[in-house]
Amino acid sequence: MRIYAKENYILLAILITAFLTAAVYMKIPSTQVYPPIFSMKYPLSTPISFWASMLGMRRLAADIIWIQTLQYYGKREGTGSPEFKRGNDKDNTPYKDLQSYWQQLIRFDPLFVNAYLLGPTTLGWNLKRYDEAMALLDEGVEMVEEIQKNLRTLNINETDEEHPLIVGKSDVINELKWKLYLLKSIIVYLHQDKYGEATELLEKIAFQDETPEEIRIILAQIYEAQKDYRKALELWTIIYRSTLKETRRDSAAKHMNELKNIIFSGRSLP
Amino acid sequence: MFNKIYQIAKYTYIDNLKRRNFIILLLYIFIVLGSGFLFSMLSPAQEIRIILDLGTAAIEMFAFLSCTFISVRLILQEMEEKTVYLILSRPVTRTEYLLGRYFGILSVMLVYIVIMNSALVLMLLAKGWSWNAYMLAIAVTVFMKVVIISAFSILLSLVSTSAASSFISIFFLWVLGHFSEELKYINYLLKQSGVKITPVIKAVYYIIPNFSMFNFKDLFQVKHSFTGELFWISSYAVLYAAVVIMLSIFIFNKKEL
Repeated sequence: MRIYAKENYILLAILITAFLTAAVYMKIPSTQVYPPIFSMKYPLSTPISFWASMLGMRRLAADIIWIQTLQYYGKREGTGSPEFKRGNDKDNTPYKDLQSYWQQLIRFDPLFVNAYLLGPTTLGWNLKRYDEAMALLDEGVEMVEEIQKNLRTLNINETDEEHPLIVGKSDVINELKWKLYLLKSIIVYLHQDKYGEATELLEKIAFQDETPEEIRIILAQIYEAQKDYRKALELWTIIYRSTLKETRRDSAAKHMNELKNIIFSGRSLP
Repeated sequence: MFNKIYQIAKYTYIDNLKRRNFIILLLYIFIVLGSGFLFSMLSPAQEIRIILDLGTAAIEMFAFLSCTFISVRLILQEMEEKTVYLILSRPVTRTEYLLGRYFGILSVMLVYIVIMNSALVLMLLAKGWSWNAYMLAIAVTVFMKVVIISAFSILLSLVSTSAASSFISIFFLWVLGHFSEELKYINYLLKQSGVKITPVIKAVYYIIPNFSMFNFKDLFQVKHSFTGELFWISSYAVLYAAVVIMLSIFIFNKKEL
């Protein structure tokens, strides 16, 4: 075997480059700020979750589950029946699987803000399943705290604006955490029929751009129940102008007409 | 030497245009436009987010499929049909041939990724999305995945006997690369329960390219500044690909054609 053979030089170059690769690899901070999918409390049932973890597409998987959840829950509006039940809900519980849909969604994307806003709204306000709404929010808080812990494990100082991972991040996570605690308080107040306190908290999030219409609808309904018709009308007008759904626009228009009549005639809602 | 590599790379690029592989781009644009209309009906509130996620995921999948297809077809088919002799009978070394092919594939993929990203950005801007430079970082990380996977495709084309086995191996590698963070967690669980295969899993974790750290697209809301991390990740991809390409050169030089 010749020592100066071309093959030996190539092998030496491979070894040196492999060593350099390993050295660079060690320099890269782990970008896994989300909890691993297999670390989640309950096994995920959909094949999409499996493939999403396999192909590294968590956000896309969350989007698909978001649409599935809306389709599952949206059947009520489509069928026109307030008591629509899925065929497999044998114990006559409407939307029995709704909580697991929302849970799967936030496990894939723990920073999916709209899921936290809409999930507890549908469970807590619409279906009066306050425990399920609270469990969803608790899990959200737990995951957001884990993300913050992961960042700390990476020795990332949240005030260090020079770090490539951190600029803008703490704002996003802290704002979400603040919203989760706010929603928890709203659910507690609604459960205890303390609408005044719930209204105060709802007003803090209802007028933000990214807030789903459902939150505004809850607030508008509370205003109506509290006979604060002018505020209710103001909110239904916002919903009417911003909604992209035809049925909701019609519903908002109906509410606006009723409220205008009440305000001018001085009577109250039945 | 560099001129010869450049000429082979240029030939590879032109050959791909002639073979009309770019039809895949039209398919991508069709999917992005179609999804835009579909999701505006299904979920109006999250329309932009869904188009963004679907678009970036599709860019990655199309890039993976086309680079694997082009690499395997070029090398394996040329060896099987003996057309490789036409090039190697000229004053071109095997190293120059392989490097030329590799850079040719990368140039084709770079053009594909730029076109697909531009189509996605135009679609998003038309829907009212405000420009975010993070899109560039996502494009770079996708290209870096292609840099690694193209090198592996060439290596596996040299050692495998059929295109099917090459495709399966590359797909398996792609999946395992994205699974590496989950693998780390499984390793932790096994260690807790006293199972003694953890060194094997650990070795796999370090040897397989860690594609999960290239997944900037899954952290869109979180990351706003990325230059430092992007530098290290790109360096890792280039060095890793260099190791694999050098291994391919070593094998190709030893191989009896």
